[in-house]
Amino acid sequence: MLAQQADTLSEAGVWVPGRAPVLPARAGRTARDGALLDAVELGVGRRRGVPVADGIGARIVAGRALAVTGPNGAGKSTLALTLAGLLPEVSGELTASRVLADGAASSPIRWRSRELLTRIGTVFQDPEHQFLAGTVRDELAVGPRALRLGSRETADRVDELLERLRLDHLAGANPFTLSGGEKRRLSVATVLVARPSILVLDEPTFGQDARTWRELVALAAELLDDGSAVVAVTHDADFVDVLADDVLELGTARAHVAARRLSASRAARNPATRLQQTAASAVSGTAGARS
Amino acid sequence: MTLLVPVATTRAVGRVNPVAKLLAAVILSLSLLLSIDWVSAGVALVLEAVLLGWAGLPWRAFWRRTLPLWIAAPVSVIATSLYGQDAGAVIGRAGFITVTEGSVALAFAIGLRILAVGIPGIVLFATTDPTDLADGLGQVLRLPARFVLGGLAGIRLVGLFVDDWRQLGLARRARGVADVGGPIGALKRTAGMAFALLVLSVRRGSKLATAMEAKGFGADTPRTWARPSTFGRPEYFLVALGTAIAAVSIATAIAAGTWSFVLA
Repeated sequence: MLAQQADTLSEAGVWVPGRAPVLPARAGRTARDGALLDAVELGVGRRRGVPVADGIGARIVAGRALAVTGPNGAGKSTLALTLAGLLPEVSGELTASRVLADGAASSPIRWRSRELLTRIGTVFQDPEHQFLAGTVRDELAVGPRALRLGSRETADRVDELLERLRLDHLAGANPFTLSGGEKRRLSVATVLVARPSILVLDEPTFGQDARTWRELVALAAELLDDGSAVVAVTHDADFVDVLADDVLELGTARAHVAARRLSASRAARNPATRLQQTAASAVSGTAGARS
Repeated sequence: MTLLVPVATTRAVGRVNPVAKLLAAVILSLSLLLSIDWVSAGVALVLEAVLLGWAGLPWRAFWRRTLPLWIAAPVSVIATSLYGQDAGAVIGRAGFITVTEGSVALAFAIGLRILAVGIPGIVLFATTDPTDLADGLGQVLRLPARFVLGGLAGIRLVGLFVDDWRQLGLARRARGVADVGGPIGALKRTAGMAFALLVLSVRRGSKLATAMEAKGFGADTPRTWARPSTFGRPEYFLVALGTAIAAVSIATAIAAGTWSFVLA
């Protein structure tokens, strides 16, 4: 019975056991020549002088996706918030390239809130933390308004995302009344509407149905193909397999980015293979991913 | 919010049933509240100071946790000596303010009392894990499990408030609205964050209530407990110690003739 209806169920968003998620094709993973953000010996923490993880080397490159993995409490979310210019670095350095900074300071934490919008967008782990408005439509307009885009431009961007993320029938609803999947899609949309160069996602697929999962992955892949960079904190092995160009594993003695190759990524479904692969890349001493 | 986290200690006081600590603190506080005089409060404070060495609380943690008392006590001493009921010789006068021997004596009685009542409570609870307290309240004092564990869950969730607040602030920066509108804008944002926190808390509360209902807290069959809470010799000893301090301080005050029963 389950086998017969597997297609229908999966289409409707049900996770069917033994059924691998349909993976969207990524056009070209050829990275543009553009490092956006460079972390050197970075230490991150919520309190000054108390790092939860340090010695992190990573490079965020346009058109490439970096997955941050590791056990609970390893400092993944703290790292994401630091890379996103929301928490000051505890030690080491985080530098924005000239292209990303675009006239602003070279350190993201010193950017004004509005300057952050078009440069680095952050999707929080809990969507409810980032909702500000009384309706879904107003929620999406917060970013464009802060950027002082015209009302037509704002409406165009909002309508496009409402449709794209299947939220158009909810435009007048209060964000807090949405379902889990709808909240997640809205929180991603509120960030995308400002068209940031880097998208930081904290556990974007956690608790999502198969359909929202596919949409999120497709959306991220599209952004990457358009030349944005994606940083995703995740426990989701499938998500890493499909999307990640580089994997940063926190919680080991010193975190290094291991570059993954596309050809190898599909073979890496077997966890053992992947472990070796990560280890091998780490041993080769890549302090930052080079494309 | 490190003040919410109990201090880990290897001393015996860390293993004593929190119900005993509660009883000892309650007996001591109630007896000290029966009179306002400096002798009984002073004697209790001295005896407590002697016992501090066994309290399992490092000095830094002690000062940090009792800081509110060290602010409240001097403030009330000053306020009472200036505005308290006047009696005896006048020490100083400025406008309608009169400082007399009576008001100064009253001021010190109150100041010492704040310390003598406050310190044992804070010190004993600093080394108490809320879970142990809940176990004790449910098993030793036989309070209703729903009330006790609901309260415990509430205490545990206080830490989440702090995280929520921080995330809400960061999210405002990420959404591009963190630095508009000047001081009025900042005030509006704080109000918005407070409201969001309220919404999040109410939702978490109802989720918790549902979870407790699902675990049968609404039923009236007796519940079993995962961690047994016992009340034995160390517990009786601690309660006896609290009672002894109360008794000695009251006896000393009566002998010194300073005892003034508040209900008399």
